[in-house]
Amino acid sequence: MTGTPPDDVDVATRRPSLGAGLLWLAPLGFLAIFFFYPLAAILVASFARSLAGPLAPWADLFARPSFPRVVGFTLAQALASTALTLMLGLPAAYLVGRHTFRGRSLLLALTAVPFVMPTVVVAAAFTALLGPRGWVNVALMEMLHLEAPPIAFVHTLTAILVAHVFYNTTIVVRLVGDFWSHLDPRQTEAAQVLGASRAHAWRTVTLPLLLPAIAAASALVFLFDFTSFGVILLLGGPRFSTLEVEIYTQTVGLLNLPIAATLALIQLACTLALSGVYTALARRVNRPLTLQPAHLAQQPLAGARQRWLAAAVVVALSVFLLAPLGALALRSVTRLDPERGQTSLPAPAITLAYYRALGENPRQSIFHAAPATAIGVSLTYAAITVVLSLALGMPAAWMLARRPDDFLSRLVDPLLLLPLGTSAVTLGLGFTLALAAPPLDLRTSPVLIPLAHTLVAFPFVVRSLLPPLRSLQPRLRQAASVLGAAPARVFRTIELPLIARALLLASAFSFTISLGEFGATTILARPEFPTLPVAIYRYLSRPGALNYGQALAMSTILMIVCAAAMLALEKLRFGEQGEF
Amino acid sequence: MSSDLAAAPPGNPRGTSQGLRLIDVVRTFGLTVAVGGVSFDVAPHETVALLGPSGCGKSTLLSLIAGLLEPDSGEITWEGRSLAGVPPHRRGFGLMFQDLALFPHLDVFANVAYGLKTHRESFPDDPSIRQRVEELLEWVGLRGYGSRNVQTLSGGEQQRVALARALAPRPHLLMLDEPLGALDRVLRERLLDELAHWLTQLQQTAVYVTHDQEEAFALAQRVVVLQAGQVAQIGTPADIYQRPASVFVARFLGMTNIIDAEGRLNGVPLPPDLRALFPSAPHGHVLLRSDAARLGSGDGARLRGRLEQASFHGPTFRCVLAIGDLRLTFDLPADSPLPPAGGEITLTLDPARAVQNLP
Repeated sequence: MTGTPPDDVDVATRRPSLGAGLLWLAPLGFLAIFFFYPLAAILVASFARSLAGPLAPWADLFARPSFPRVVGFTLAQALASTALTLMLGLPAAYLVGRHTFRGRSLLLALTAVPFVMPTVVVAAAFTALLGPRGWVNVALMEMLHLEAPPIAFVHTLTAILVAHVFYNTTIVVRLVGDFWSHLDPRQTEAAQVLGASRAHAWRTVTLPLLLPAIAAASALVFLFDFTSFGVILLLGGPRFSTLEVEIYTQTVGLLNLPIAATLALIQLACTLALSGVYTALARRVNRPLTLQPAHLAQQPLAGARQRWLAAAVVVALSVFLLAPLGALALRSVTRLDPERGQTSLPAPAITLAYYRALGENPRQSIFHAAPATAIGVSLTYAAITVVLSLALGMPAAWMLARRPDDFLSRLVDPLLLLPLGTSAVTLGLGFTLALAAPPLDLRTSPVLIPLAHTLVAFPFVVRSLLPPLRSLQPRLRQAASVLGAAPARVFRTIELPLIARALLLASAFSFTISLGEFGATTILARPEFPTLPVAIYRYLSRPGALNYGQALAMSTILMIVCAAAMLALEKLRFGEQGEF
Repeated sequence: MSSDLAAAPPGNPRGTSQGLRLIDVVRTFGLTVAVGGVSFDVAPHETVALLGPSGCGKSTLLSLIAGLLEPDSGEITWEGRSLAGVPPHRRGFGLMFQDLALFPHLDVFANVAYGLKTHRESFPDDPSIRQRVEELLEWVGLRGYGSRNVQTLSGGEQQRVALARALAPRPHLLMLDEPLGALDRVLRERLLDELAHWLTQLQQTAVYVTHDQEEAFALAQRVVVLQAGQVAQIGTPADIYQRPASVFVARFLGMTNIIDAEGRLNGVPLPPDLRALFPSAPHGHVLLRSDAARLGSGDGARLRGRLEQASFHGPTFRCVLAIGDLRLTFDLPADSPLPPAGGEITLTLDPARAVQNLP
């Protein structure tokens, strides 16, 4: 009886059980308390300030000619950024998914570094490389004896797109590459034996099988670009405005909270619509596959063709990712600007003064943070975030994979992406409003920041775990169950080891998201316990070459901490469960 | 072969309802009735085969017995106790899947030991588990394979690991879902013999699902023939082969000389002299057994016709005899040579065996 219902039936879907439904309790409770409640609080408070009634800001907004332009630009730049990210990310995903080569772990770690960099640092990095006084322009002016910088990069659309690709390539490389490494290569080989050309086999077999992972990655990338804030503000400049930037301007600049809240609702609606489309699509393209251990799919590079392709991808990616970061690091040890009191420009010189200055606190300011403190705080928050987001994300992903047709699953699935697509400004204000008063006074609790980080990391965990969980052969769980394993043991001994790689990936995402989160942290952080990005921002917001240099030095430290953490995660293996 | 393995499953007191019993079990999927009121039982130490074509509901029945599905109505009992609501992991049954479902992340040893570690993760320190696994591996001819990756094994070796894994916890009832389906012929026949040997030696209570009558007849003491989710016939292999209970069963077993109530075979009316063979023509169908004919004339009813086609099948020739537009199939003993195809031949039927009524 092949192809009849029993083959697809799951042990868990045998009959509805209340016990398993309880798995929703933690993730849903978390979302309710730490997402919907603060969000509702800030929205209600905002609309209450509208003197002409709650509908007035809508009429006001739709009457503005700039409104359709802002929405259109927000969507267009996000679409373009996502497409470009896929174009750069997919070849790299193929390379790390299908091949083993020296420096593979390093390449993976490298792609993750931009992801954790606070936007202020990335903006600084690109300015250090391509800005009017950046390395490239300075060098070109020297060589060609030009009066003005030849390359205009900052404050262009190109800068926005490049920064988005820079940030999010890692999502595509990780999610798609990891899934690719577990696809059975024989399926593509079978298509080729059946007479399909390389391109045809890729289009008709590999691509459809990869679609769940590509869709998941694209949705995440799109949401990040859609709600992008710092990049637009700092690298795009005043000419460009997205919904998120408008929300910020209306909130902080113009104090027009009703309009800001209306914009936040529109942004939320867009996110919800996109999540709905995405989750419906993901349900359709997901099918159980026989996932293979990565070592079966991954081949050493063979032949000149493959070597050249690999070299091209590695070099392109390395230059693209390393150049701005390198420019930043180099800038952190270079003195270019005159010291106070000096009148002439000194010749550029290597100096460790900025790093040395990090440890000094001449004015005994409580806003001073020693680098060690900031690193410690950042790593602690990141660790808590990993634990929290896995604890919440795993049951949610399991329920979505095993009970896709439950009422709750259908309802919750699109909601899970919402925190990603929600204005950080709105949410930050919501946190301070809703969680700073009884019954939930967490203002002074150190757990508030990891909670905010978890909110952003949680959708990543769910999206990383879903494709492998859905692709697990139901037969394996059934076999374990018939052999006497209770559901908990089936999960622990069969499902968990088989998705261990995805768990590692989810941990990496949570960890890096927490390390790099800036928007919510800057609102919630206590002065004596800043995270690395907050410390960087403090230096950047103070005038003077020394502060700027210290910011770059701190950024370089964050970069190194992140790369080291990623390399360590790469090397981790889950017990003796093999290389899944 | 250890004495341990040959031991009967515990707790089988002689009583009125031992073993497995299915009573009027129904299971539907939407509008499809996969199992529509099936009843049969499996006595202790007995092997029962569920035989039927694709889509007859046999795999669904297995899932119902294993507890992977619950019936819509009807009851499944073990040792007289209802299994309703008992989850798969508490039934103490073993199931060997058609696609084996070996755990790809565990080695051979850990796969076989999986069912032994239900209560405590004592592995690998527990010497009794190590001993049991090694005993089983030796027994299925995979001694020393414990640390091998299951994905590097050949099809036959994987099959044996799956069998060892299913048997390791000493299941009360072993279920096998087309376990030889994907194997090559030589390996299949060898494993079929081995399976028959193992099941008898262990006195294992077993349910064997297959679409292959040869496998069913070779392994089972009794066979349940399924047709579209319902029982078509239950009996010993000999019963079923000698006296198929319906046109469906006869056709499924490959019998083709089936004459309908109007005296037609595939729409062609029988000539009068042939009709005379069935003096008491009933209201239903009549089967003319292909194995009840001999070449040449002798005692019994005589059939003359043209030998249209003949193929050699070891002990028999399969012949198609043409009488006018009528085509009859016979299996003739291969001891006497056949004339070339196209020639006229005479066959003698054993009237007592040749004609059977099909209700």
